[in-house]
Amino acid sequence: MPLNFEVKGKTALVTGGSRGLGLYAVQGLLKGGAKTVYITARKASQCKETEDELNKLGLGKVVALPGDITNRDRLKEIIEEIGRRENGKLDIVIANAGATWGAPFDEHPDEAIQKVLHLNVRSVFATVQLAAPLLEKAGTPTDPSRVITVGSVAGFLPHSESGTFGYLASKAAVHHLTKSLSATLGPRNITVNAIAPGFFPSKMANGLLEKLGKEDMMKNNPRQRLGEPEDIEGLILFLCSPAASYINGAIIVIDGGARNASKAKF
Amino acid sequence: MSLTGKIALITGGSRGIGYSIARLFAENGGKCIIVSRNLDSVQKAARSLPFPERKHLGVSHNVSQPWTDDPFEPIDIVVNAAGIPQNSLLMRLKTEEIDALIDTNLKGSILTTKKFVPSLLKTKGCIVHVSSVLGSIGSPGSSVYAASKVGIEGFSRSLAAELGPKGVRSNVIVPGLVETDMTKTIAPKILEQMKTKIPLARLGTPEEIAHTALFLATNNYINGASIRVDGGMSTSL
Ligand SMILES: NC(=O)c1ccc[n+]([C@@H]2O[C@H](COP(=O)([O-])OP(=O)(O)OC[C@H]3O[C@@H](n4cnc5c(N)ncnc54)[C@H](OP(=O)(O)O)[C@@H]3O)[C@@H](O)[C@H]2O)c1
Ligand SMILES: NC(=O)c1ccc[n+]([C@@H]2O[C@H](COP(=O)([O-])OP(=O)(O)OC[C@H]3O[C@@H](n4cnc5c(N)ncnc54)[C@H](OP(=O)(O)O)[C@@H]3O)[C@@H](O)[C@H]2O)c1
Repeated sequence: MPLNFEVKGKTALVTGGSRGLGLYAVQGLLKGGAKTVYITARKASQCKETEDELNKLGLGKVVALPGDITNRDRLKEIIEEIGRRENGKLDIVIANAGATWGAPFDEHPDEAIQKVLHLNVRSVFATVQLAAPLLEKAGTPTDPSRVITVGSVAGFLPHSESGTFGYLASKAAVHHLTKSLSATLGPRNITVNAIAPGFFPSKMANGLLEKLGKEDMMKNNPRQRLGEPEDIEGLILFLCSPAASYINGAIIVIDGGARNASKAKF
Repeated sequence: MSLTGKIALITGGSRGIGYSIARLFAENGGKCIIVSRNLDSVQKAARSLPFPERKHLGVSHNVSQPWTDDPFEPIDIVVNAAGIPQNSLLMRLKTEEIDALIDTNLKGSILTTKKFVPSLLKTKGCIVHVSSVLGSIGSPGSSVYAASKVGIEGFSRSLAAELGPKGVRSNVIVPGLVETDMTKTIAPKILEQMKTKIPLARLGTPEEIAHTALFLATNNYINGASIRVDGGMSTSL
């Protein structure tokens, strides 16, 4: 049989893995045969709940390591803990945790820009930098270890109806950071790619969806629907599997085609 | 992930990337109709595909020519992989060579897509095009080839918006340098030089491109996208 879209026996860290897209990424990895998936999120109770829920599936093991990843010391502890448990090796990092903030331009708080850029950009860099030694130990030329960042179609779109200035800039930054990390880490047998999702219902997206009109958004999407968990599960699994070993520095848009359709809004 | 019961039509399926796609699709349950100009080689390639009981077909057709109205079985997946390279600078290119590049690489993908859209609308199928990073990297001796390849990306994006609401997706694979007949002619010295510009320091294999085609054929929400499979060669674009 051909190489399947599998991650049998692999270990992974998914930041913001307690809910939303991060959770879908974890589910994709588990369905693909991952051995252990570490998840982080600030809220320890939800992180634990997700751990318990997913461990009931009887697939690979999920381990909750709660913490605020904008706190570099805590992030370092989390990654060191993984290193201790996994003999200094880690196959996959999904740098997914992110946040948004919308406010009109004239009264847009400085703090909003700072918070969003800190989590969405600075912490993505920190996560990859701190995990790189573990990833380097796990990767081989034929099956490199993987970093997947979570950009967004928002990273391509200049117009924000809801004043998410920091968010749009942060996602464009994630795309560019992904490319520069791919050039730096490729020679160390680590590939770095971004996924750029359109609208997926989640705690973060639901407010905006309400405002923009969910029905309209679906109608204006060339695929006539919003994103679903399986869409992310499949893409993450593919990108982490041996099938994608030559993909590096790519930004993969998964939005049903909305970015190109003139009627779609974000 | 399985293509069980699906029928794929793959141009350029007699060798290289197209053939690898056909083989992977067949291994994953699909029936393949492969297309190339040379009848002998395309039939031989079709016979060599796994699971011959599915009766894979080898069809001789020049994609730069309009398709005849021969009926085909309902097609679920169209892969436009037929293509020819450019081997000289613009000032040395003959008009016939320019025509062949545009007619095969760009118009060929358009004519084949147009022929099978009615079928894809019935099967709610998908289209996978094969472009090239050389379409976007300014590299000497690739002028008309580059034009033909970026043309495909625009074609696909528009189709994604046009056909998406009717359930048909269109996406592009953008390979970097791949080990096939097409890259065999590159002088070893130049090839080594090119590898230094690829973060993964090697060429891709046709199988690696095929896996992305299989993924695109099975993920339901990716539409109007271009996926680069190039080891990181084109990140400055
Ligand atoms: N949903 C969409 O439509 C969409 C589209 C494109 C891109 N994205 C991107 O996808 C990613 C996930 O978004 P989502 O929609 O799934 O949002 P979400 O439902 O709000 O989930 C965010 C996750 O990140 C965690 N998190 C937030 N701040 C954190 C911090 N400082 N430290 C550690 N963990 C933190 C959250 O847990 P705690 O709150 O407990 O910390 C949660 O697990 C984001 O990068 C987002 O930009 C989403
Ligand atoms: N190899 C690379 O590095 C690379 C990189 C980026 C993109 N690509 C693209 O990938 C595609 C496949 O390339 P490859 O490397 O696999 O090339 P290849 O090994 O030379 O195979 C080309 C295939 O296309 C067929 N073909 C050529 N002209 C045709 C026509 N007018 N009508 C029908 N079939 C035709 C050939 O068969 P006949 O000769 O029998 O017609 C053969 O099956 C091309 O579109 C190419 O531009 C290749």
